[in-house]
Amino acid sequence: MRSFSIKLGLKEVPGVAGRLDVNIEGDEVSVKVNFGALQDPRFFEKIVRDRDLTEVPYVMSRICGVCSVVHLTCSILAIERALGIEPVKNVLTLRKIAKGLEIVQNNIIHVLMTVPDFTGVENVIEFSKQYPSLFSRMIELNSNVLDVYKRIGGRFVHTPSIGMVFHGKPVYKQELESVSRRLLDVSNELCDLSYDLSELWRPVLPSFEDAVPTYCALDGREEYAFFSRKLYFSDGVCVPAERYNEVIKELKTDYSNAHYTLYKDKPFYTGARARIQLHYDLLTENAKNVEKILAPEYSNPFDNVKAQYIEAVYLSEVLSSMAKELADSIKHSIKPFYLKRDENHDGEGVGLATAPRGTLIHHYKIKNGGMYEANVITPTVINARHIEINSEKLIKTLMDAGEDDEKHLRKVTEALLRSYDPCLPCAVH
Amino acid sequence: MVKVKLDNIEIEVEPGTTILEAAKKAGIEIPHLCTLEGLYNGASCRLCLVKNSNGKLVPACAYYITRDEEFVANSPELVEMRRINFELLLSFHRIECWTCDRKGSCLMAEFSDKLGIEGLPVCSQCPLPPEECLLKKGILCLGMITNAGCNAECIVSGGQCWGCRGPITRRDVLERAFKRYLELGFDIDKVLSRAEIFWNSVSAFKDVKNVARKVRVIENEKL
Repeated sequence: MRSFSIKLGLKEVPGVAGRLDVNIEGDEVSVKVNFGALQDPRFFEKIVRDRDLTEVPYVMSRICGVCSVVHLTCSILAIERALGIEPVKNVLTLRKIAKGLEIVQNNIIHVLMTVPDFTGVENVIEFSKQYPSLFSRMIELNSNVLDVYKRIGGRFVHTPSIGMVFHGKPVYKQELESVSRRLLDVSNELCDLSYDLSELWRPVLPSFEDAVPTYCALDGREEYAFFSRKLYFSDGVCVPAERYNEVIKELKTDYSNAHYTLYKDKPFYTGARARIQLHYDLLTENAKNVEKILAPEYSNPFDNVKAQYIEAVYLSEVLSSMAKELADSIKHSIKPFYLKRDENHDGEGVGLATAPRGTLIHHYKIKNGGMYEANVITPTVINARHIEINSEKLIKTLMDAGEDDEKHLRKVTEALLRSYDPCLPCAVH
Repeated sequence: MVKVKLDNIEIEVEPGTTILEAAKKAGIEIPHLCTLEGLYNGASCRLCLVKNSNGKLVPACAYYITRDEEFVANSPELVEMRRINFELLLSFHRIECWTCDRKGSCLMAEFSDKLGIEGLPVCSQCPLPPEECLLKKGILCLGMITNAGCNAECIVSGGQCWGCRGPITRRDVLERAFKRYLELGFDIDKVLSRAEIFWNSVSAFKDVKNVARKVRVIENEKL
């Protein structure tokens, strides 16, 4: 074996939100990667303490502006479960559509952000110059999805219409029908684009596999799990939401402001690859076609982007049929209504939701109608240790193969980080 | 016919036409509050001030053109002048947008938005009619005590106001608003706790709290 030693620091990774500090040190015996989130802690779990329950979701949604809908809905879900109340079917469907649209939009943007990695183009600006039509079609898709969202939930960032037990924005039958049609167009356009993208696609590192192949997603074996009451692990373990902390351990490191999690004392992955594998049988024909075109290797972390693309195709079709069904089931419109609740309720609830980057957990304890304790586990917190061990394996594989160009190592590690799409402000909540 | 030049646009009008009418013909917008076409031109709001060639300010609604003349209808100086005049008018206005019948078609709200003047509550831009007010449904909305300027974005989207644009600073408006909160059965502490989310570091929040407590004491004494 060739002897080597390496010391690399990554302070900035283009396309990754937030301040991070990745330290890579090692020699031929072992490589150590520390994935540190340097973002200042924002104490969201403490801010909501003693707050009125109606305020909690709107404060919690501020954890992230990019995926505010999932924080909002997951927070609402946890409170609703703690109070033992449930929204009516129509409200729940609208909530699912809103959240699904967020995943589609986030996935499209993530594919655009990582485009330089798999096409070999220097950066996104360069990509827009070399492939202007492809770029503008992707951007148009993104704005189409945002426009569709406007009809369902109103404003995209920190949506004010989604609330506890209610959907504040009136939604009309015609609007739902048009949403359904437009989402089908989005799905078809994504299918068309997949041919162009697959031609450009060059694997960053072919046949690279996860160091620990343990995945976690929400239990959605029967239908796509926007929300669920169960966590599903790739080793077949299915855990009810309330018992998540028996299997997932949340720990703290001294080099990062974010926590990390372990399952059975080992890191595990959450994200699009896990979701697509779990929902594979549910995939629509279009999604399966795109899957054949892109041919992702689900054990390769770099192919996360492909999984996200397939998910966007699948979800836009699912959401389209959900909107159609909802439109057929109503006469004219869904009007907002509000529910009065018991002011002095005690309870405990766990909300599980599928965020664009993985599984999100909100756990609340409520006393005398006010928030007593809150715990939030975000996908980046779950993935933090998985990123570390995969980076370690990546560096070691490359060094063993004789690669010692620091610039190239840095570039590939950046690509790996980007493929996870870590959101550091979310991790440091 | 006489020739009149407004902001370098030349038009011909009948002698005896007001500058406001001439501007309308030329497609130039001059803000005005007190003039009602054919009914009243009191020249009392002073929002339509324009400048003649001698540098003198004249009200466009009450100045009749009798000879060839030139006027400046829009300039940064005039906008500033209009802002000052409008602020004076607003300071006398009894702001109670949450129950006002003119909500939705209010010129005060329109000019306030155009001239960038703060002082009106979010209720002035809220699309809901007074009878559909969220407060009447028991939903705590901070629209009454929050500065307008956002086009009531959250309420348009189906939510309630969270006060992100900061508090109203006029004491009388705050008093009326808190009185309304009490009338509708809201707990003042809960209103302040909600306001705290965005206003905790705003210096004017201290005054808001003082007004709220004072209103509560007065209303309790009445009971």
